[in-house]
Amino acid sequence: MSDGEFRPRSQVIDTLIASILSDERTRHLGTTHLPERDAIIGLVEELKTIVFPGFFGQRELSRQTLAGHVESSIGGLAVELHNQVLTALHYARVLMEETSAASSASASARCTGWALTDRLMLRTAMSYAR
Amino acid sequence: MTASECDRLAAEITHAFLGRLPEVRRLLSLDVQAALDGDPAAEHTDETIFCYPGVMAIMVHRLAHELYRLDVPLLPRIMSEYAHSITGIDIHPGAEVGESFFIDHGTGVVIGETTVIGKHCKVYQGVTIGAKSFPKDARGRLIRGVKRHPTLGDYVTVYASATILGGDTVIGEGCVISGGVFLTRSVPPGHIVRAIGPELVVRTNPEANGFESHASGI
Repeated sequence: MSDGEFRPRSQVIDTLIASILSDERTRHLGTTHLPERDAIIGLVEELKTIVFPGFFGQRELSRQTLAGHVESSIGGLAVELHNQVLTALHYARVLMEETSAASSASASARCTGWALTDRLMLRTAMSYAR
Repeated sequence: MTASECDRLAAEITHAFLGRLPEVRRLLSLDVQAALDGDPAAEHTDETIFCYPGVMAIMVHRLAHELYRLDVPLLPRIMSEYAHSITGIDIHPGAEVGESFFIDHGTGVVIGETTVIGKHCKVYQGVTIGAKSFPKDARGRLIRGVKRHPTLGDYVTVYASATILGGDTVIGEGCVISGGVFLTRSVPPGHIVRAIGPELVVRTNPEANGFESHASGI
């Protein structure tokens, strides 16, 4: 391959990188807390084996093996669900901070952020009462 | 919210969600029965769990709705859009759906965020339960958090391709909304709504020589 043939490809890559860097709406760089779509779909598939046991996932369940299946599924599910919820909360927090910093009315935005946090805490506490 | 507060909150949400699974299973059991009762083509509840997109969609919805109620960001939408992608049924996780709900066939059904659906309702393919034009604030931004989608009472049936719009539209208990209806106002309980059909013209197909005798029984 000659230099002449390679250059257009390089231009495409340069243009693509410039495009990515210029539009923060369509990329995440250096973001540590971002929900994982595939992991969340995995949660749905795991939940299917719990709400409809025997239909999906492990076959040949019996009354004797059911408790082990549910315990094992819930255990794994709890860990992954916690991870994804935690990531989503961090993601929302970072997003809120970025929005807050960018806003001219940052003090007002921070108040909104704290109000959201309070609401989350209250909702969670109330869910125990249901 | 600090990192440790996020961690504690995530643990509480996870615990609360898992605690709701028995209730979700109870509701799904009623949905599965509604699918069997609502479709004469179904021979067993097993068939509805294995095969019916409506059962799959309501399963994912009931799970996603629990996370939505716990104010978990993004996860419920990812779950509902996953269900949408595999069933063609788009139910926003915010929609409140009563027990014994059945979506038959399902493709093209849209149920918006602030929809409220009563018990024992049935919806067919292509139904939209949606919003009218979106209200905006003084700066022209969309106002979020207001009720934009209809309310369906108990025992409402909505047939194929009907469209029901608006947050103040209430379909009363026991109503039947016929196929293809476009509805933006409330209906009192116990009514049937149907659209006056278009005028149909039936004429002989000049390219179908010899078929007339087969069609004589129509």
